[in-house]
Amino acid sequence: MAATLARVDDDPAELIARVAVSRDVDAFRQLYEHFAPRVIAYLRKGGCAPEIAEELTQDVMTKVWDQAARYDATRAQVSTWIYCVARSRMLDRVRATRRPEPDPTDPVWSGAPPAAPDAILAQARDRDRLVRALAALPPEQAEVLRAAYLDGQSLADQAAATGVPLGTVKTRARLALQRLRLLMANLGDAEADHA
Amino acid sequence: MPDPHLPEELLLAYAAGIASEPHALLCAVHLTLCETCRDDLALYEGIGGALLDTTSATGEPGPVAVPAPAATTSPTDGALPDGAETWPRALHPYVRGRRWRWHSPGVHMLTTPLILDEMPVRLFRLAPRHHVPQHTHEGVELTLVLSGGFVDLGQHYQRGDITCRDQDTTHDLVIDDDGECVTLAINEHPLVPLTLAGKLYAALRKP
Repeated sequence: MAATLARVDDDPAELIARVAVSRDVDAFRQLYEHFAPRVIAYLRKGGCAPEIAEELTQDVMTKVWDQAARYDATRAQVSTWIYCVARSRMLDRVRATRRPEPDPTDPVWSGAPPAAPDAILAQARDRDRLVRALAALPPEQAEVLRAAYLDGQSLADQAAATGVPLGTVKTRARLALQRLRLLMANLGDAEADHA
Repeated sequence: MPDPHLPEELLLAYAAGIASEPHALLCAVHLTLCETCRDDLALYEGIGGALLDTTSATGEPGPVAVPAPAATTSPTDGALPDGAETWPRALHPYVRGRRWRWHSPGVHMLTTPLILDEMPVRLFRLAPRHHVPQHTHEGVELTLVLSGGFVDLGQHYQRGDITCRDQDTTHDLVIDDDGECVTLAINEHPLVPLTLAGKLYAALRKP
């Protein structure tokens, strides 16, 4: 149960910084105790056998230790970084799916400035904001996101599994994403006003 | 987000790690060229992080150990086709060693090894001012502009832009007059022609 989990009392980004700068074993242990059980649960739900889930989790947490210095707190929260590493391991090893990735060193890398340039930074600075926003979603919208991310179910899978029309599932996903994007964009504007 | 950006549903699937490889390729190519969608992806991956962080399900972690070496994908051989140096690198492994082939007047086609719903993922190179006759689709057709541009349903699309057309849309398109247009096209099903010219075109377009 959630209540029995180890809490990360310190800011995870601060813990990562301690791992990066001074190879702080205690900081790493806090990260490990918080995230490893969650990564295992994520991989198990994604279809990993228990021993594979454990092996991949060690892999994910070893990467956290090895590459702590490369973590960029202005780009993403720690939980997001770990999520992306775990997702990559699962796709490589379990689903055997290749996932083409955009390459920031690509010579043709380009794009107009984003509409809400402060949104990511604001999100990175306030790790609880997105968690609260998710908790405030109507339950049926939150469930669509949870099933997609944690159970690996496409919107069509969800419609088939629940009997809810696909159009309704898509609308729920769209509304949830709209609400979260709006909240993050507003947060960026609010922080810019205070700057 | 509507045209000319990635459909939300697709970006969500990409962030959640459940997109098909053709769809993931389309995402990677567009994300290389679009800051707006990169910003959205950061948010969508943040959602994954937040869900991971707050999941109530837990597993028993073991002690830290040295991980097994990661699986590597073998690189494909062969030269890149004409024009590929201007395309995002994410696309290169899928076009290496493949050649442009004549397809129909004004149209060349390059077939990638990727297949979605029995339809191969293809690139089209269309001559300036080329007109693609009126047609509709049985399923969704996603088209990404790799170079040049065209007008479809009164809107101009250029490099990086995506159009998403389904069975409720009847459309034709006209390539810009100032140069060739190269597109990456993902069809769930073959297109449905509505005119004689379109029927001839579709017959030629079959893989």
